[in-house]
Amino acid sequence: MVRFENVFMRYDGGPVILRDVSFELEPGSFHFLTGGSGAGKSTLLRLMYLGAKPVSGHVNLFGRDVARIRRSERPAMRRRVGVVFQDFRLIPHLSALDNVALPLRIAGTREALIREHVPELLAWVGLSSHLDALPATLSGGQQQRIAIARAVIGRPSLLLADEPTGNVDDRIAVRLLYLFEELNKMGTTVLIATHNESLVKRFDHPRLHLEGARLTRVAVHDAGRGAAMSTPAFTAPASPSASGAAAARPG
Amino acid sequence: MWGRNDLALARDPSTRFLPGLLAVLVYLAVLAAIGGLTAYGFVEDWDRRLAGTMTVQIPPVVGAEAAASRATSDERREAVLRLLRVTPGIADARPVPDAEAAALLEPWLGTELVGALPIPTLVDVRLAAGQPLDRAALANRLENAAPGATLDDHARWLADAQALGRSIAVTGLVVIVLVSLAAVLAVVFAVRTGLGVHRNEIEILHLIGAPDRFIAAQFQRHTGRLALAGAVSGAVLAAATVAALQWTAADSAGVSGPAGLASLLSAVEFGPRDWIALAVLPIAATLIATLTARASVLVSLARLP
Repeated sequence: MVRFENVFMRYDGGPVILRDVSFELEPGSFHFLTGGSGAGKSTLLRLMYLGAKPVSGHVNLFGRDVARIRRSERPAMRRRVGVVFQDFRLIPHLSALDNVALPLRIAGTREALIREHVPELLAWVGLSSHLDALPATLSGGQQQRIAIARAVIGRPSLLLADEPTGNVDDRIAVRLLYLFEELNKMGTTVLIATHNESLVKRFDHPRLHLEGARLTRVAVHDAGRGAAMSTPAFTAPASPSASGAAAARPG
Repeated sequence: MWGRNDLALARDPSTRFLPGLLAVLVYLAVLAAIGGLTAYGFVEDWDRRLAGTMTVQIPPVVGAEAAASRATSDERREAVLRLLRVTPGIADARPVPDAEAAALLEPWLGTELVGALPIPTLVDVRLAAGQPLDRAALANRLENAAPGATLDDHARWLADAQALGRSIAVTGLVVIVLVSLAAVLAVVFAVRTGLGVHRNEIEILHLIGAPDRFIAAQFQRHTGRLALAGAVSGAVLAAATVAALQWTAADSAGVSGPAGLASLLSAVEFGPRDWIALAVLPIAATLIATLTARASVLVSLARLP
């Protein structure tokens, strides 16, 4: 699904953000991406949704080296990736419904299907009474849920979420995580960047941890021994069903 | 999906000038086309009416008694007609009645002067198609039959008039080409501004997988709609202008004003060609604007990293 090989990343003249990062996301897997603010989580995601190219090393997406993907091929690749941006990136003059409908409209979905599915999903994220609201009239948490709905509406092969629960209370955060798990059960590979430790604790999925521009991979069952996570909270036993069963599915 | 616009381009001030500008451009283009077509129509008409004709002009006899001069004039005219009718290559020769000849001079000299002055006798000559005519020999023999008689085959006048008509027609075409260029530039400018204004939304659309043609379709639709509104109003205004000109011409023809202008304007009749120009130009303008918008968006977006 996604493979990084010795990836180095820095923006023009800036500090090195990713140093020799290598990892692979198996099809159907569910990972958290943790790390402090400015650790490079968003940059790592950006490399995966073709928002940037690595300075060196290879990023492989759906079996293709992203450096070799032509501009004309990008839209089709991006339609397979659902992204929840940290700053939501909603279109300000479109209603909640139209924002969420965008990926479907781009894909040429019939309007009747859009009218059926979009309100249903918005109801699921608790926004059924705000279908026609413009983003600016909604709270940060509500906008975030629109962004999440937009990312998942097209049932992407890969879901990347950048702090998707940053603006909501724990109850809604858990509900949103369930949504991601549902999607994961249907075969979507999920990667969630977060620094919400309680959430990571609550759902036992393996995690990738970024620190000092380097990435460490920590499986759930070695969480206790992981270099990056020495907190006792991570010793909770893993349930093999979640990541194991899903990982067997093809992406 | 075709009715909606995900970029809210309709609220964009950068394209508000487009309908007005296109209305002016289409107005100019339609008038240029009708002017050009009319000029071209004159050229064709003169060609058809005057090709294969000549006029023989017999000067009036001056300095004699009125009755004697009339007798001499009649004699000369008969001599010329006899000569013409036996000349090979001439199908027909018809004397122009004095009243008709006088009418031709009236606008320039006035009724009184025309009545008082001796006027030349004119003979219309129709050439036989496909038979060569020795013009030099005919001119010599005419001089013998009626001293001072001249042969005018309209060639010089016709060539000048046709050159004028053609240059008016070509000017009309040039105006249409320039106006189209101006429309293209205006649309390119509006689209580039629009792309700048909506840079953030376009980036979002790209990130969630919209291909360039999805974005181009939004601009295309919006521009097409604005262009159609502008082009149709321009064409309607142009039609109203032509109608007003015709009405003015018809109105002044019988009353006052220069007869030449009236006859020229009343010749601007709305023929099928003018109707086609009136219908085709706004459609063409809309099409040009739409395609320009599309091409301009695709070219601009392809330059993005």
